[in-house]
Amino acid sequence: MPDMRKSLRYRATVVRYMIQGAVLSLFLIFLWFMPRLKAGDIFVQFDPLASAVLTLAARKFLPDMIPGLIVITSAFFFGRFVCGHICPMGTTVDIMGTVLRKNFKPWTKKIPDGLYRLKYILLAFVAGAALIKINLFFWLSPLPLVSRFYTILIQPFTTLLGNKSLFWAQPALSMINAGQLEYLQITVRRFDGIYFILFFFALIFSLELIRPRFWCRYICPAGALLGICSKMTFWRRRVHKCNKCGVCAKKCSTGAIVTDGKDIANNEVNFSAPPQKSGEHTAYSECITCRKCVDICNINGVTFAFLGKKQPSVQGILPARRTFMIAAGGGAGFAALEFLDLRTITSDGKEGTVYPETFVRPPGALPEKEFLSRCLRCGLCMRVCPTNGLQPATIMNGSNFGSMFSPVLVSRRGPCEPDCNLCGVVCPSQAIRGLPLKEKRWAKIGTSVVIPGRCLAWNNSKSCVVCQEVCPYGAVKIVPMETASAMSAAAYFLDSKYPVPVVTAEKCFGCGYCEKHCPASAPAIITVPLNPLRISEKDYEVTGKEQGLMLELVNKSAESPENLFPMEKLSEGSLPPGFTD
Amino acid sequence: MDRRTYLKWQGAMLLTVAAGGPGVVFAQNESIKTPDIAVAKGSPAAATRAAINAIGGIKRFVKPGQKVVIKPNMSFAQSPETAANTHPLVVREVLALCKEAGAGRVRVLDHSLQNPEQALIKSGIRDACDGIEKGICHHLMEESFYTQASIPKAAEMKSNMFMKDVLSADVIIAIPVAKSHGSAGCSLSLKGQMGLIYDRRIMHSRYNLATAIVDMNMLIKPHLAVIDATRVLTTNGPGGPGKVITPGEVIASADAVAADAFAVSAYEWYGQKVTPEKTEYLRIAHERGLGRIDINNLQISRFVV
Repeated sequence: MPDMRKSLRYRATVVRYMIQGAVLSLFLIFLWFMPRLKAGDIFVQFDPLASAVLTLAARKFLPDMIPGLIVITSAFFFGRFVCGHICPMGTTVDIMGTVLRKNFKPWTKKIPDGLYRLKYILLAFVAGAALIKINLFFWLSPLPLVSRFYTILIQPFTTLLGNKSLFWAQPALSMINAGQLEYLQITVRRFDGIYFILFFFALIFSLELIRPRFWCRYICPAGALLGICSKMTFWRRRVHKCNKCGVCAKKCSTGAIVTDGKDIANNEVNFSAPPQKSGEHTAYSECITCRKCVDICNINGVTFAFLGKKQPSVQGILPARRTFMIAAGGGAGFAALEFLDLRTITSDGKEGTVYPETFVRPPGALPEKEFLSRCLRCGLCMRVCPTNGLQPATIMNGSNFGSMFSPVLVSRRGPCEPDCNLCGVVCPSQAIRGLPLKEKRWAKIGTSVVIPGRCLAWNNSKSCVVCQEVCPYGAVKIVPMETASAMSAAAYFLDSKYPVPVVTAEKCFGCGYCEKHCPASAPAIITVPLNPLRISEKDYEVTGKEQGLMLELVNKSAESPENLFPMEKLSEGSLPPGFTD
Repeated sequence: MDRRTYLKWQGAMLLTVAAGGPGVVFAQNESIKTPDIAVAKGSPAAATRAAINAIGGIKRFVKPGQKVVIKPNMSFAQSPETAANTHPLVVREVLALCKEAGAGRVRVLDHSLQNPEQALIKSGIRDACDGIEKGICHHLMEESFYTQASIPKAAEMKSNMFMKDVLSADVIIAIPVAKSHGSAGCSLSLKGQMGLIYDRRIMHSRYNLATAIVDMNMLIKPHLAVIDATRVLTTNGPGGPGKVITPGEVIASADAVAADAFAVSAYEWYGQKVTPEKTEYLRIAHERGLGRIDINNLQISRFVV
């Protein structure tokens, strides 16, 4: 029965593929199709690096980071099982690597062993930065990275495909009178800086041609963290018998098996310190427990088990303590540059702080400095934002190294919906507070300002008050020019026969509906981060009312007289707004 | 032709005239008696039905099998009492009437500025429509539902993208709510048609808004206008919040311009009475022959149901 033996032979690998496939599917389903379920964020919370570094930077226990701490703990028992089976980044790298290696010739030259230490050095580097409360981990943390990849790059692509196929299907659906189906609309989602993300991931994936799981082997600091914890793992690779054929070492996904000095072209691993004897020697910190070695061993000499006799381990992969310290110091020093960067917000509103005027943050975002050190840049808020207004900050928004990819509201693309609080609900690290809808409506994100020189009504004498029409908070008033003259200096320089828009700042949430719909090609009313309400603990509604905000939705204040057109100021004989002689 | 044949033909003609005669007389009577504008006061549904019946009934406008597009105001995520959207019962009644007249494909369409889903829910209009026929009430937000069309009689806006459904419709029925409008004076059936095109921005930015409204209606002027004045938003429109009065009336006319003109003159705007000529787009519509605003010369039937 050769067939059965063959299928049995790859049992461990098949099981791993099934787990990987299931987890990745679950991840994508949560991420793409069930944004409203508070589930997609659980995956991101599993990130061990983020949880460790955030805790370190915040100097306190963060309940949202418990899943990541559980993953770290798991390494003490199961080694890097998570890397080999659960991590969607690992699975994605596996898939891309398989595709690439089938189509291109891999690069087989020797790589110095020292490269294995890179990820530990990066880990120390990032930890060093966290010590001075600056987060750099988002450049390297696998789960936020991969969720950004799928939400900002891949998911928009699927919307484009869906949108275009509906475009072709609509005539047919309309012909058969398909009712609901006929009016299916898939809005294309667009994001800032997607080419950058494409290049970033193209680079990571192409490294697969140098070594399988190059990312996991040499770069991923989260893997390094788990590696340190799995040095003495309970569940681990055990070798019962070995004929020193070297196949396991050659095929090992991460090069964690040390041979007895045979020159194996594909996988030259000769760690300096270990007793070089046989395939028995496993570097547990490098082993992602994929169990390929179990499947391919010709004499069935390898198992993974909890119990068993002590096995020789490989020493010398982890960098020396001295190297760790230097790397951590380097990280702190590198991060300290943040304090010298012009656009770093060291404290909100402090004199001399340059705050980019495009940085309108999502409602409920913590005070800026805290927000940036807490935000994982996972892109979940951007994924769930119904209007596509939340965008990753790029250099174009005035973002610097430390604020890259953090969410900003680009209201020209999509405003902040008064009836939505999803960004805070899904935020895995609660950098955006998960406020109830009622409270979220008080989390003022900015203020709209009219630029009279661009305004159709103010300057071009055209009849237009679309901003007033769309404002959900009733914050835009239209007033006749006579009244405007009394209110605004701009009226001395501009004149219009039509009524003009004026913003009442206390009523303005900063949602950006006005900016989105302004008919001028360069918007004449823009939302800027002027007097946003950003508090880390207190209640928004209470605080907002204390500050004199009036952020009731218009429906509820239908009779509030000061909201109406200032009729008493209509001079005798003049017509109501919009009517002309 | 022999005599027998001649007599046969004569007999046949006589019968035809005898059969058709009363019809001719009846039709003449109808044209004399049918008012240009009917204004019914009553509950939203009853007033709607009565107003349409008074101008000749829905069958005058909708023939069996025809494609109908109904255009209410439903682009504000607000409840009916704010008068920012058409009353759901008015929409429901018009839809029901179209179905009774044997209309084929009926769609209730608009193009929202606010969140379309919230607007459909809070206005109550989708629920009202679903009660008659499921899945026909939509906000069309995607460009693919629109197609470029030129406007031959346009003065300024020579073309725009119109809803494909509207261009292929046999009958367009506008059922706006009467409300004030900061830039147009008031928003009624002609202004409401802006919800059937894709690019509304250029109507403000490139053209004179009033001229562009008339241009647009040169192509898609509603065949029947039913203005919901059960509640009127008299200040701070079109979004509100503003002063809401409740005349409890529904205005119907085959001439949308006349219906609008009547609505302007019938209610107060910012506490004032305004004549139709003060509304720029109505003035232009009258000048360019789109319809009549000289409502004093029109037959108006105003009654209570």
